[in-house]
Amino acid sequence: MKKLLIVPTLALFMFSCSDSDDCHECHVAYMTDAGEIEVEIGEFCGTALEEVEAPDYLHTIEETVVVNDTVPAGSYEVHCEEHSDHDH
Amino acid sequence: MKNIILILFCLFSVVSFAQQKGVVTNIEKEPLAMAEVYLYPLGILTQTDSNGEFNLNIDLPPKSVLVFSKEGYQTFSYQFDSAEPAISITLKELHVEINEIEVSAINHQLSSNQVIALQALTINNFNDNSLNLVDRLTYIPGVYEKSTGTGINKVTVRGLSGMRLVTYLNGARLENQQWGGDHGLGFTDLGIGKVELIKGPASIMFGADALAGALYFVDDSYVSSGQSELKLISNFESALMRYNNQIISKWAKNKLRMNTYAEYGSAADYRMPNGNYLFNSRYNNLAIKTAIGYSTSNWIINLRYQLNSNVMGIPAHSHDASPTLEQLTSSSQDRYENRPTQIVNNHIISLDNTLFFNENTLKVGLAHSNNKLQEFEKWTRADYDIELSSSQLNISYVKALNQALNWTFGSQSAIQNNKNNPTTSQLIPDAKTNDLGVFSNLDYVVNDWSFLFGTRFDYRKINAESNSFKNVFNALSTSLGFSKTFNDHKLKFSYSSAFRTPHISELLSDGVHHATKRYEVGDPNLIEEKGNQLDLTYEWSDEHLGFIVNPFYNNIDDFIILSPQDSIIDYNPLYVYEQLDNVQLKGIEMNIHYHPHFLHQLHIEERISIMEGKSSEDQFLPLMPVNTFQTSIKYYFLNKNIFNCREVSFDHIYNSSQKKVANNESPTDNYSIINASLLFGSKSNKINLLIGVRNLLNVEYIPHLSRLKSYEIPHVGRSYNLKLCLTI
Repeated sequence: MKKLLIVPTLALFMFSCSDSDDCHECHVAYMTDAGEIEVEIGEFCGTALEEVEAPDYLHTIEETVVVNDTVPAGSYEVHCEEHSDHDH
Repeated sequence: MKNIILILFCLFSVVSFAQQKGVVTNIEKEPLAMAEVYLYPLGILTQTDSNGEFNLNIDLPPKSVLVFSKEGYQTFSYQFDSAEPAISITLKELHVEINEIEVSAINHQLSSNQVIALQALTINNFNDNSLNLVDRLTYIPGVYEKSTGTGINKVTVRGLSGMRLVTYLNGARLENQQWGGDHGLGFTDLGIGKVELIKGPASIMFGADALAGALYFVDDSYVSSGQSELKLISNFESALMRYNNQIISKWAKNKLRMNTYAEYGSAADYRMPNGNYLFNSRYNNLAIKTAIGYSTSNWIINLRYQLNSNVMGIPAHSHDASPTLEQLTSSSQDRYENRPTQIVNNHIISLDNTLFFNENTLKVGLAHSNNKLQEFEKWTRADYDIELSSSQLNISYVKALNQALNWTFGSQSAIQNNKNNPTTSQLIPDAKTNDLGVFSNLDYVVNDWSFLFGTRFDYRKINAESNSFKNVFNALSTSLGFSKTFNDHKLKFSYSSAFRTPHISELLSDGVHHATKRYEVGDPNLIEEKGNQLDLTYEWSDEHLGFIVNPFYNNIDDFIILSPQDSIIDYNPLYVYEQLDNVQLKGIEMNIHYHPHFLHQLHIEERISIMEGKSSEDQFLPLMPVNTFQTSIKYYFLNKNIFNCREVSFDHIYNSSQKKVANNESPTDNYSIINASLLFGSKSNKINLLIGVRNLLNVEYIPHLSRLKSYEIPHVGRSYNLKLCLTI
């Protein structure tokens, strides 16, 4: 009977071990014929992250040069997911 | 006084059992220790002791079947007879076994009397070198895996999947938004004992939708009264850096028994043959499961609950319309949660009752499931958040009209409620679906002949108030067939019809499906798909060679497809649900098992699946499986030292190229992969260790049914697998 209690105990332990990390690096994506250019806009946490991810939110940036590409000033949708290290 | 008598009666009923004994020997009358004895329909597994003896310390219901098995010996089934004082079983040495099934959980028929195209596969989670449960199922000819990376997998049977394939778990129908190409099976092999598969239309037993067939998963066995078991299974897969741990406890006392399971697994992005990793193909899963059984001599009840919680990265995400392979892959491997992600939480609770009245059986099953599917592209809000609840009531009565003729009749009913979170966008609307089906089957078994005749009427009502959509679908299905055994030959023929009502996703979709990067539009005027299948099976075996040949022809009218259009909505390509007048799926499946006389422990098995799907306009259908040739070579070692190598196996899988593709579908090349494994075990079977390698030659290949093939993303490269199973 003792063996029966082991599984639920471990299951409860596993549930209680979930971690949460609510800060993420965000960027705006500017599309060109050659692909996407990312402009990093910093790390956002909690309600600030909720704000920049809201459906109608657009983030305004100045004209920015990323390596050899120029991203014009304007308002862009914000993305906070990470891309592969080849996707630059 | 009456109360005292009643209490004494209750107490007595708890502690009194039939103490029937038995012995298992080989043909030389030597006792066979550690032979397994499976008690059907109780689902209890016990073993013989060192003298080959076993005790049935439980009351068995009428028509119980005892299935005896031992490695190296032929499985034997025995119809239990309580009048017999002692059971004496002789197992013959195993030569060729071409079909694993003994007693079907679907229709309770012995394999020798089976008429329908039904195949079974044991899910043994410690000597299996498969990547996942769906990969394991592809050992059955005609079964294929449709994948999105390694975390999201669907089963495809004879070219059909999704809503066309009905999945049951111990009598409870699984409803987990299976319409989506990116919505996987949703559970792992945790606590699964075997799977039975009906290939082709199976509406008679499983109702509307079972146009491709039905997958019926059966739980792992209980231990017998007075026994308990604790098992730990730990698995590591190198290409995914995946670890997966299962803990299983089993306990039984008197008439009560209980199994409890828990699992946690985590996989990082998978490594491709070129050494790079498919970004965001990571996933993790958590599952808990329990089963409680109780039985008397005329009643069996099982209460089951399981929770599966999966967090799956959706690979091949890019803001580019046509991303390159390099943009989707990474030089480093990560496992932390990213976006986009699919989060699925699935609860299933079921209560099965079986009551025995002399020769007749009544089954009443209740089940409720709740599936919550969320798809996130952002961290803080879901793009979709859909909850599907489903309640089912299944009743069947098996009446023995005489020794040879059984009549099964009953009903299946279900209420489904699909509800969107109002704060998220919607792809499919809120909708209620009511199902009712009544059926009648006649099984006639005489001498070497078996006959089946079944008919069924189904009613389905779909009501989506938000879209002002209300429709009723009715259909009649039939199934008939026969089987004949003569000497070493067996012939089976069946005809079955089935229908499938359009799903609300096909009728009423209107939105971006983020995981598939499509804008999907349904058509409320779609009508039912209607399928008719002819299936012929010929089996032959002697001591050293056996084979099964299984040609089939499935004709489906009003076949629904998701057709790409030449336009873009909300930055996504437009796809529209349409109906083709008629399609035909035809093919042949074969299974050859060779066991040479001079090397008794060597088994060579070949599994072949060949098929094609075409519309009446002579167009090939999209996502049709390639022709597959799987060769397995296994050698069993019989010397039982304290710890020794017990099995070595090699699998060669050849998948042909697929050039018969639909418009706008990319063809794929042929490929061969080799898997190998070594299984070690202790004499007591308490410790088992599997060392395996998959894709030994690190071949770069793209499966035709991979949803990532349009990005030319290869499947997993060479991967080592280490699995340890400890029984305490």
